[in-house]
Amino acid sequence: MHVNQLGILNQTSQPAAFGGAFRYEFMMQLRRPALWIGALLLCPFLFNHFNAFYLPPNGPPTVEQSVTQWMSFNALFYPIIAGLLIADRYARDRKTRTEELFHTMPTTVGTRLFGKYLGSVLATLVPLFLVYMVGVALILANWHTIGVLPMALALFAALMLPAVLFVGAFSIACPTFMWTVLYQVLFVCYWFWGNFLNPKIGIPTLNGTLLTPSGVHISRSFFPLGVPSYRGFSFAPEPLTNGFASLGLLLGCALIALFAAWGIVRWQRDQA
Amino acid sequence: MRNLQTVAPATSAQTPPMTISMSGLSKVYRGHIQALRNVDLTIEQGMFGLLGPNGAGKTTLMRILAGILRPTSGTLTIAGIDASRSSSDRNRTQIKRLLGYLPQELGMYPDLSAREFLDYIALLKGMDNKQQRQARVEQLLETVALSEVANRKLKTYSGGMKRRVGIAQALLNDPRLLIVDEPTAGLDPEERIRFRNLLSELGGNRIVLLSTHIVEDVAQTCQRLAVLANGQVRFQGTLGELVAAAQGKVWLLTLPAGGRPLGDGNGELSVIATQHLGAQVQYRVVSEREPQAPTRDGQVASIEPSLEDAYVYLMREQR
Ligand SMILES: Nc1ncnc2c1ncn2[C@@H]1O[C@H](COP(=O)(O)OP(=O)(O)O)[C@@H](O)[C@H]1O
Ligand SMILES: [Mg+2]
Repeated sequence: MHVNQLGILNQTSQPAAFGGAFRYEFMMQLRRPALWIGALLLCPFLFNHFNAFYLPPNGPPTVEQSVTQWMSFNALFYPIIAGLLIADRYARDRKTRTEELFHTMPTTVGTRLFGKYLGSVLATLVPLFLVYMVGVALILANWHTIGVLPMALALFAALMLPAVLFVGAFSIACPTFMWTVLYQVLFVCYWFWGNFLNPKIGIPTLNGTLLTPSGVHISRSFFPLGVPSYRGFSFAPEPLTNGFASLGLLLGCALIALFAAWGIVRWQRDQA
Repeated sequence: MRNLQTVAPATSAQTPPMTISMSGLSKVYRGHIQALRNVDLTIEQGMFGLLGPNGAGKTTLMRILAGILRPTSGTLTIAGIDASRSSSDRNRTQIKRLLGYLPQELGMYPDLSAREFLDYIALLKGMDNKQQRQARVEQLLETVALSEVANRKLKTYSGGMKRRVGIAQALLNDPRLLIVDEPTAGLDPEERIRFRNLLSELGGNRIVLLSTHIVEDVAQTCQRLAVLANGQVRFQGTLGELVAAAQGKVWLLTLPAGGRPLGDGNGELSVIATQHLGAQVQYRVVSEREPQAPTRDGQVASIEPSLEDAYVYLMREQR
């Protein structure tokens, strides 16, 4: 490191600060009982009628479809828990008054914000990943194959990861300027509006659009199954561009939300 | 990082002295609360005490120095770097690199251990070398006598232990400007003494700025001080100068039991201490002129002022 004549470090390692925020936010989120309780509470619901939905002879005709359907079902519900549990991460810095201390550090607000975001998002995915893999293991065991394991992992990366990155960004960003509980209520409403409301009813909704957060378009274009629909889940193939567009939109919106949060926190800091 | 091996003195002897100078510094919070009015102050290397009652503006001044708040007007230079209202982010970052700050109410994550918390702060201060960082954390845990309990969650720590974690985090980057805001508030007497001793060892080639509303804290640790009241500097100088100003203004009144001290007629008399001694009662008072004993058998003697007397004298003089 370079030290100038006043004994001041000329440079401050932003990567070190990013790594620190990432690592400790990951750790703190992972240690939260609420995260594990949330995932556990979802289990009875996810595994309800598991046999009938995913396993032969009553389940889907192929193991690929079984796994895709299992992922889709997870992706429809788990992000709600993820969004709720990430929403208090920034507000907590204010509640514990660590924000004041952090504002005296030579590293930037953005470094800390992005580290916090990625760390808490990835930690939030851990319990879900375990729950998902239990389902995958049951499916694979019943079909006596492990051939679709890579596909199961790819499904997780392509559907669940973007969905949680998307909701996580808003859950970090919005509580910087609004009351966390209010955001959480709005978020749950949004989730049902954006994912469950049938577009045919006539109320405008995100459902069915490329911005559907649970990732129908990603699933249909990256993992086409050629089966029109099965018990309400449609896997009709779509062009690859739809998948990329949907992925790009979700991640793009996440980035915009994070940059906005960065600006807001800097603005708030400079107002004081 | 340099000088990871030592806690004090800061950096090497060749570095130019650290100074802070401010003139006409004011801070108006939103809602038109004027917390600082035209503060002129120069702070040189060593321990410097900022003494004043609650609401005097001490925290406001320290938060400005720490770069959390921007002053409303006036000039401020820290180590030759401009930190006035319009100073650039670059300047502020430079100042933050030489800063260690212990806020009045230190925020910590209750679910981290002291070791983890210090490591996190070290990373946020940009210390990227893992070995040096860990060595520094261990060394500071040792300094504040928390090595034994360093793996316990912070939520299990007492107030005094948290304060020690606080000073350790402030020292991680071997700061040339160490700001500690009311560090002894809420500590029991033993912890308070310990904490003062720790601070005294940190002087040397840096500024240690300590704020307090407790006269004793300053008396034990600082050579120079400023007294702040109502957002204004009422005094700045050495302890000796403050005491000298109260010379001849402190009196010991010995009265028969039940006797009450009388002022000079204008009520300009402050009782600092009362002591009952059997048939007599002794009052230690601060007064501009020699107070009169209410009865013939009362005695009045002029005595040497203590720092506390001097502080009371200063505050009443300018009321
Ligand atoms: N964030 C704030 N907004 C408005 N007024 C404030 C704020 N912080 C402090 N004050 C006011 O500024 C004055 C000085 O406060 P402070 O600097 O905390 O004093 P001290 O630390 O000496 O007790 C007080 O009148 C206080 O109420
Ligand atoms: Mg204060």
